[in-house]
Amino acid sequence: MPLDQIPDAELLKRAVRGDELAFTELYRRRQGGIFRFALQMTGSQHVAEEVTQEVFMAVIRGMNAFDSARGSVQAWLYGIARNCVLRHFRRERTALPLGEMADVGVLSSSRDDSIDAVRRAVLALPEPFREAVVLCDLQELTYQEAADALGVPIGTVRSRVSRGRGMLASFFRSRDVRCVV
Amino acid sequence: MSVLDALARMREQDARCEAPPRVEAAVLAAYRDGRRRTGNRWWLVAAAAAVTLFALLWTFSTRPKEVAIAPHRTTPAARSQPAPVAAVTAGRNPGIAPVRRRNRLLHVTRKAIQAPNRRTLYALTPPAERDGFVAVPYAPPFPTDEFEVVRVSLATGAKADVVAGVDGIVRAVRWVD
Repeated sequence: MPLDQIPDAELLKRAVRGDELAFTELYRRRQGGIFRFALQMTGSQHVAEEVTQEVFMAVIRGMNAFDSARGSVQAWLYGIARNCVLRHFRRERTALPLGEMADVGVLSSSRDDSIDAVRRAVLALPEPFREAVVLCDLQELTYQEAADALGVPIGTVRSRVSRGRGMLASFFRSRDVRCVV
Repeated sequence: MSVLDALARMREQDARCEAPPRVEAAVLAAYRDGRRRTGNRWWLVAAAAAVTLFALLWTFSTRPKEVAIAPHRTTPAARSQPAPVAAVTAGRNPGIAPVRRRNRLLHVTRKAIQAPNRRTLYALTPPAERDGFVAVPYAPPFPTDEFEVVRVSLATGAKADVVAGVDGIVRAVRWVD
Protein backbone atom coordinates (compact mmCIF):
# COMPACT_ATOMS: atom_id res chain seq x y z
CA MET A 1 0.00 0.00 0.00
CA PRO A 2 1.41 3.42 -0.92
CA LEU A 3 2.42 5.53 2.05
CA ASP A 4 -0.03 8.28 1.20
CA GLN A 5 -2.91 5.87 1.69
CA ILE A 6 -1.80 4.62 5.07
CA PRO A 7 -3.71 6.04 8.05
CA ASP A 8 -1.91 8.36 10.44
CA ALA A 9 -1.97 5.86 13.29
CA GLU A 10 -0.25 3.22 11.19
CA LEU A 11 2.35 5.73 10.02
CA LEU A 12 3.01 6.63 13.62
CA LYS A 13 3.41 2.97 14.56
CA ARG A 14 5.90 2.49 11.77
CA ALA A 15 7.72 5.65 12.79
CA VAL A 16 8.01 4.29 16.33
CA ARG A 17 9.64 1.20 14.87
CA GLY A 18 12.16 3.39 13.08
CA ASP A 19 10.59 3.74 9.64
CA GLU A 20 11.85 7.13 8.53
CA LEU A 21 9.73 7.13 5.39
CA ALA A 22 6.60 6.70 7.48
CA PHE A 23 7.63 9.52 9.77
CA THR A 24 8.40 11.75 6.80
CA GLU A 25 5.02 10.99 5.29
CA LEU A 26 3.30 11.79 8.58
CA TYR A 27 5.23 15.03 8.87
CA ARG A 28 4.42 16.11 5.32
CA ARG A 29 0.79 15.19 5.73
CA ARG A 30 0.27 17.10 8.96
CA GLN A 31 2.81 19.89 9.08
CA GLY A 32 0.70 22.25 6.98
CA GLY A 33 -2.27 22.07 9.30
CA ILE A 34 -0.12 22.48 12.39
CA PHE A 35 1.72 25.40 10.82
CA ARG A 36 -1.51 27.13 9.81
CA PHE A 37 -3.05 26.52 13.22
CA ALA A 38 -0.08 28.17 14.89
CA LEU A 39 -0.07 30.97 12.34
CA GLN A 40 -3.76 31.69 12.80
CA MET A 41 -3.44 31.51 16.57
CA THR A 42 -0.39 33.77 16.83
CA GLY A 43 -0.30 35.75 13.60
CA SER A 44 3.43 35.18 13.39
CA GLN A 45 5.09 33.08 10.75
CA HIS A 46 8.21 32.80 12.84
CA VAL A 47 6.27 31.49 15.82
CA ALA A 48 4.34 29.14 13.55
CA GLU A 49 7.61 27.65 12.33
CA GLU A 50 8.82 27.25 15.89
CA VAL A 51 5.59 25.63 16.97
CA THR A 52 5.60 23.22 14.02
CA GLN A 53 9.11 22.18 14.83
CA GLU A 54 8.35 21.84 18.53
CA VAL A 55 5.31 19.71 17.82
CA PHE A 56 7.20 17.17 15.77
CA MET A 57 10.14 17.21 18.16
CA ALA A 58 7.66 16.38 20.89
CA VAL A 59 6.28 13.61 18.69
CA ILE A 60 9.78 12.19 18.29
CA ARG A 61 10.34 12.27 22.03
CA GLY A 62 6.97 10.81 22.94
CA MET A 63 5.75 8.71 20.05
CA ASN A 64 4.68 6.02 22.46
CA ALA A 65 2.47 8.46 24.32
CA PHE A 66 -0.17 8.43 21.61
CA ASP A 67 -3.33 6.70 22.75
CA SER A 68 -5.79 6.00 19.97
CA ALA A 69 -8.56 5.66 22.55
CA ARG A 70 -8.25 9.37 23.28
CA GLY A 71 -8.62 10.57 19.72
CA SER A 72 -6.99 10.63 16.32
CA VAL A 73 -3.35 11.32 15.57
CA GLN A 74 -4.44 14.60 14.03
CA ALA A 75 -6.21 15.66 17.23
CA TRP A 76 -3.18 14.57 19.24
CA LEU A 77 -0.90 16.71 17.09
CA TYR A 78 -3.21 19.71 17.38
CA GLY A 79 -3.29 19.19 21.13
CA ILE A 80 0.49 19.35 21.26
CA ALA A 81 0.47 22.39 19.00
CA ARG A 82 -2.07 24.09 21.20
CA ASN A 83 0.13 23.53 24.26
CA CYS A 84 3.11 24.97 22.38
CA VAL A 85 1.08 28.02 21.38
CA LEU A 86 -0.15 28.58 24.92
CA ARG A 87 3.42 28.30 26.17
CA HIS A 88 4.39 30.87 23.60
CA PHE A 89 1.61 33.18 24.79
CA ARG A 90 2.76 32.86 28.35
CA ARG A 91 6.30 33.69 27.30
CA GLU A 92 5.64 36.47 24.89
CA ARG A 93 2.23 37.83 25.81
CA THR A 94 1.49 38.32 22.18
CA ALA A 95 -2.27 38.09 22.45
CA LEU A 96 -3.80 41.24 21.12
CA PRO A 97 -6.73 42.52 23.18
CA LEU A 98 -9.83 43.22 21.13
CA GLY A 99 -10.02 46.84 22.23
CA GLU A 100 -6.47 47.52 21.17
CA MET A 101 -6.98 46.42 17.61
CA ALA A 102 -6.07 48.88 14.97
CA ASP A 103 -8.85 50.25 12.89
CA VAL A 104 -9.19 47.51 10.34
CA GLY A 105 -11.17 47.87 7.19
CA VAL A 106 -12.84 44.55 7.54
CA LEU A 107 -14.03 43.09 4.29
CA SER A 108 -13.05 46.17 2.42
CA SER A 109 -12.77 46.40 -1.34
CA SER A 110 -9.34 44.84 -1.43
CA ARG A 111 -9.56 41.11 -0.99
CA ASP A 112 -6.18 40.82 0.70
CA ASP A 113 -6.91 43.71 3.01
CA SER A 114 -10.22 42.22 4.00
CA ILE A 115 -8.67 38.86 4.75
CA ASP A 116 -5.96 40.55 6.70
CA ALA A 117 -8.64 42.29 8.71
CA VAL A 118 -10.41 38.99 9.37
CA ARG A 119 -7.13 37.55 10.46
CA ARG A 120 -6.58 40.33 12.93
CA ALA A 121 -10.13 39.99 14.19
CA VAL A 122 -9.53 36.30 14.80
CA LEU A 123 -6.29 37.10 16.58
CA ALA A 124 -8.15 39.47 18.83
CA LEU A 125 -10.52 36.78 20.09
CA PRO A 126 -9.86 35.55 23.62
CA GLU A 127 -7.77 32.37 23.47
CA PRO A 128 -10.45 29.79 24.32
CA PHE A 129 -12.73 31.11 21.59
CA ARG A 130 -9.93 31.70 19.14
CA GLU A 131 -8.64 28.15 19.33
CA ALA A 132 -12.14 26.77 18.91
CA VAL A 133 -12.84 28.96 15.87
CA VAL A 134 -9.44 28.24 14.35
CA LEU A 135 -9.76 24.49 14.79
CA CYS A 136 -13.36 24.16 13.64
CA ASP A 137 -13.80 26.95 11.09
CA LEU A 138 -10.30 27.36 9.72
CA GLN A 139 -8.76 23.92 10.16
CA GLU A 140 -12.10 22.21 9.57
CA LEU A 141 -11.76 19.73 12.37
CA THR A 142 -14.95 18.14 13.55
CA TYR A 143 -16.26 19.24 16.91
CA GLN A 144 -15.21 15.90 18.33
CA GLU A 145 -11.67 16.21 16.99
CA ALA A 146 -11.44 19.74 18.34
CA ALA A 147 -12.72 18.52 21.69
CA ASP A 148 -10.05 15.81 21.71
CA ALA A 149 -7.36 18.32 20.84
CA LEU A 150 -8.46 20.85 23.44
CA GLY A 151 -9.26 18.30 26.09
CA VAL A 152 -12.75 19.66 26.71
CA PRO A 153 -16.23 18.23 26.19
CA ILE A 154 -17.72 18.52 22.73
CA GLY A 155 -20.47 20.76 24.05
CA THR A 156 -17.86 23.22 25.26
CA VAL A 157 -16.36 23.32 21.79
CA ARG A 158 -19.74 23.99 20.18
CA SER A 159 -20.39 26.74 22.66
CA ARG A 160 -16.99 28.37 22.17
CA VAL A 161 -17.24 28.25 18.39
CA SER A 162 -20.69 29.80 18.50
CA ARG A 163 -19.59 32.52 20.88
CA GLY A 164 -16.41 33.14 18.91
CA ARG A 165 -18.39 33.64 15.73
CA GLY A 166 -20.72 35.93 17.63
CA MET A 167 -17.78 38.00 18.86
CA LEU A 168 -16.43 38.30 15.34
CA ALA A 169 -19.84 39.39 14.03
CA SER A 170 -20.18 41.95 16.80
CA PHE A 171 -16.74 43.26 16.08
CA PHE A 172 -17.45 43.53 12.38
CA ARG A 173 -20.72 45.34 13.09
CA SER A 174 -19.02 47.75 15.42
CA ARG A 175 -16.63 48.53 12.58
CA ASP A 176 -19.56 49.21 10.30
CA VAL A 177 -19.02 46.15 8.21
CA ARG A 178 -21.79 44.18 6.56
CA CYS A 179 -21.51 40.87 8.25
CA VAL A 180 -24.08 38.37 9.34
CA VAL A 181 -23.45 35.29 11.44
CA MET B 1 -20.67 38.50 3.56
CA SER B 2 -21.09 36.40 6.66
CA VAL B 3 -18.52 35.61 9.28
CA LEU B 4 -18.40 32.06 7.94
CA ASP B 5 -17.71 33.37 4.44
CA ALA B 6 -14.96 35.62 5.77
CA LEU B 7 -13.41 32.71 7.64
CA ALA B 8 -13.70 30.53 4.53
CA ARG B 9 -11.83 33.13 2.49
CA MET B 10 -9.15 33.30 5.12
CA ARG B 11 -8.94 29.51 5.10
CA GLU B 12 -8.56 29.48 1.32
CA GLN B 13 -5.80 32.02 1.42
CA ASP B 14 -3.93 30.18 4.17
CA ALA B 15 -4.30 26.80 2.48
CA ARG B 16 -0.98 27.32 0.74
CA CYS B 17 0.87 28.14 3.95
CA GLU B 18 3.28 25.48 5.06
CA ALA B 19 6.34 25.20 7.22
CA PRO B 20 9.51 25.98 5.26
CA PRO B 21 11.83 23.14 4.23
CA ARG B 22 14.31 24.01 6.95
CA VAL B 23 11.78 22.92 9.56
CA GLU B 24 11.38 19.56 7.83
CA ALA B 25 15.15 19.20 7.65
CA ALA B 26 15.50 19.95 11.35
CA VAL B 27 12.70 17.57 12.32
CA LEU B 28 14.01 14.72 10.19
CA ALA B 29 17.52 15.26 11.53
CA ALA B 30 16.12 15.02 15.05
CA TYR B 31 14.27 11.85 14.12
CA ARG B 32 17.42 10.27 12.73
CA ASP B 33 19.36 11.36 15.77
CA GLY B 34 16.71 9.83 18.01
CA ARG B 35 16.90 6.56 16.11
CA ARG B 36 20.66 6.56 16.39
CA ARG B 37 20.46 7.15 20.13
CA THR B 38 17.88 4.45 20.47
CA GLY B 39 20.16 2.12 18.59
CA ASN B 40 23.03 3.03 20.87
CA ARG B 41 20.82 2.51 23.88
CA TRP B 42 19.88 -0.96 22.72
CA TRP B 43 23.53 -1.72 22.22
CA LEU B 44 24.29 -0.50 25.73
CA VAL B 45 21.43 -2.51 27.18
CA ALA B 46 22.64 -5.61 25.36
CA ALA B 47 26.19 -5.03 26.57
CA ALA B 48 25.03 -4.51 30.13
CA ALA B 49 22.96 -7.69 29.94
CA ALA B 50 25.95 -9.62 28.63
CA VAL B 51 28.18 -8.32 31.40
CA THR B 52 25.57 -9.16 34.02
CA LEU B 53 25.15 -12.65 32.61
CA PHE B 54 28.89 -13.18 32.60
CA ALA B 55 29.14 -11.96 36.19
CA LEU B 56 26.36 -14.31 37.28
CA LEU B 57 27.95 -17.26 35.53
CA TRP B 58 31.31 -16.46 37.03
CA THR B 59 29.78 -16.10 40.47
CA PHE B 60 28.03 -19.42 40.27
CA SER B 61 31.03 -21.18 38.83
CA THR B 62 33.21 -19.99 41.72
CA ARG B 63 30.53 -20.43 44.32
CA PRO B 64 31.65 -22.66 47.16
CA LYS B 65 30.42 -26.16 46.69
CA GLU B 66 29.31 -28.59 49.30
CA VAL B 67 32.10 -29.49 51.61
CA ALA B 68 32.34 -32.66 53.50
CA ILE B 69 33.43 -32.34 57.07
CA ALA B 70 32.93 -35.04 59.57
CA PRO B 71 33.69 -34.75 63.24
CA HIS B 72 36.69 -36.71 64.18
CA ARG B 73 35.79 -39.27 66.75
CA THR B 74 38.72 -39.56 68.98
CA THR B 75 40.06 -42.79 70.20
CA PRO B 76 42.55 -43.46 72.95
CA ALA B 77 45.16 -43.88 70.26
CA ALA B 78 44.25 -40.62 68.74
CA ARG B 79 44.67 -38.82 72.01
CA SER B 80 48.26 -39.86 72.16
CA GLN B 81 49.20 -38.28 68.88
CA PRO B 82 48.01 -35.25 66.97
CA ALA B 83 45.10 -35.97 64.73
CA PRO B 84 45.36 -35.10 61.07
CA VAL B 85 43.43 -32.02 60.45
CA ALA B 86 42.26 -31.12 57.00
CA ALA B 87 41.07 -27.77 55.97
CA VAL B 88 37.66 -27.65 54.55
CA THR B 89 37.97 -26.74 50.95
CA ALA B 90 35.50 -24.34 49.57
CA GLY B 91 35.09 -24.48 45.84
CA ARG B 92 38.23 -23.30 44.14
CA ASN B 93 39.51 -21.61 47.21
CA PRO B 94 43.25 -21.58 46.78
CA GLY B 95 45.75 -21.93 49.49
CA ILE B 96 43.79 -24.38 51.58
CA ALA B 97 45.78 -27.36 52.53
CA PRO B 98 45.63 -29.87 55.28
CA VAL B 99 47.12 -28.50 58.45
CA ARG B 100 47.73 -29.69 61.87
CA ARG B 101 45.60 -28.45 64.64
CA ARG B 102 46.59 -27.96 68.19
CA ASN B 103 46.30 -31.03 70.30
CA ARG B 104 44.25 -29.43 72.99
CA LEU B 105 41.33 -29.32 70.65
CA LEU B 106 41.10 -33.10 70.52
CA HIS B 107 39.95 -33.24 74.08
CA VAL B 108 37.27 -30.76 73.48
CA THR B 109 36.11 -32.69 70.45
CA ARG B 110 34.95 -35.67 72.39
CA LYS B 111 33.09 -33.49 74.79
CA ALA B 112 31.40 -31.80 71.90
CA ILE B 113 30.10 -35.08 70.54
CA GLN B 114 28.83 -36.10 73.90
CA ALA B 115 27.38 -32.74 74.79
CA PRO B 116 25.85 -30.99 71.88
CA ASN B 117 24.69 -27.39 72.17
CA ARG B 118 27.98 -26.42 73.66
CA ARG B 119 30.44 -24.35 71.78
CA THR B 120 33.11 -26.87 70.98
CA LEU B 121 35.93 -27.58 68.65
CA TYR B 122 36.02 -30.56 66.38
CA ALA B 123 38.89 -32.17 64.75
CA LEU B 124 38.39 -32.87 61.10
CA THR B 125 39.16 -36.06 59.36
CA PRO B 126 40.89 -36.36 56.04
CA PRO B 127 38.83 -35.50 52.95
CA ALA B 128 37.75 -39.06 52.35
CA GLU B 129 35.83 -39.07 55.59
CA ARG B 130 34.20 -35.71 55.32
CA ASP B 131 30.53 -35.68 54.89
CA GLY B 132 27.44 -33.65 55.14
CA PHE B 133 28.71 -30.08 55.41
CA VAL B 134 27.53 -27.45 53.01
CA ALA B 135 29.68 -24.41 52.46
CA VAL B 136 28.05 -21.07 53.17
CA PRO B 137 27.92 -19.11 49.91
CA TYR B 138 30.04 -15.98 49.69
CA ALA B 139 31.75 -16.69 52.99
CA PRO B 140 35.42 -15.74 53.31
CA PRO B 141 38.03 -18.38 52.47
CA PHE B 142 38.09 -21.22 54.87
CA PRO B 143 40.59 -20.73 57.67
CA THR B 144 43.51 -23.07 57.32
CA ASP B 145 44.92 -22.88 60.78
CA GLU B 146 42.04 -23.08 63.17
CA PHE B 147 38.31 -23.31 63.07
CA GLU B 148 35.48 -24.29 65.29
CA VAL B 149 32.51 -26.57 64.87
CA VAL B 150 29.58 -25.56 66.97
CA ARG B 151 26.47 -27.62 67.40
CA VAL B 152 23.38 -25.56 67.74
CA SER B 153 19.77 -26.37 68.44
CA LEU B 154 17.20 -24.44 66.52
CA ALA B 155 13.81 -23.40 67.82
CA THR B 156 12.21 -26.06 65.66
CA GLY B 157 14.14 -28.72 67.49
CA ALA B 158 16.49 -29.38 64.62
CA LYS B 159 20.19 -29.42 65.25
CA ALA B 160 23.05 -28.36 63.07
CA ASP B 161 26.82 -28.28 63.16
CA VAL B 162 28.29 -24.98 62.14
CA VAL B 163 31.89 -24.54 61.05
CA ALA B 164 33.23 -21.13 61.95
CA GLY B 165 36.63 -19.55 61.78
CA VAL B 166 38.26 -17.87 64.69
CA ASP B 167 36.89 -14.65 63.25
CA GLY B 168 33.43 -15.94 64.10
CA ILE B 169 32.26 -16.09 60.50
CA VAL B 170 30.42 -19.26 59.59
CA ARG B 171 31.91 -21.19 56.67
CA ALA B 172 29.87 -24.40 56.49
CA VAL B 173 26.77 -25.96 57.98
CA ARG B 174 25.60 -29.53 58.43
CA TRP B 175 22.23 -30.69 59.60
CA VAL B 176 22.32 -33.22 62.36
CA ASP B 177 19.72 -35.93 62.30
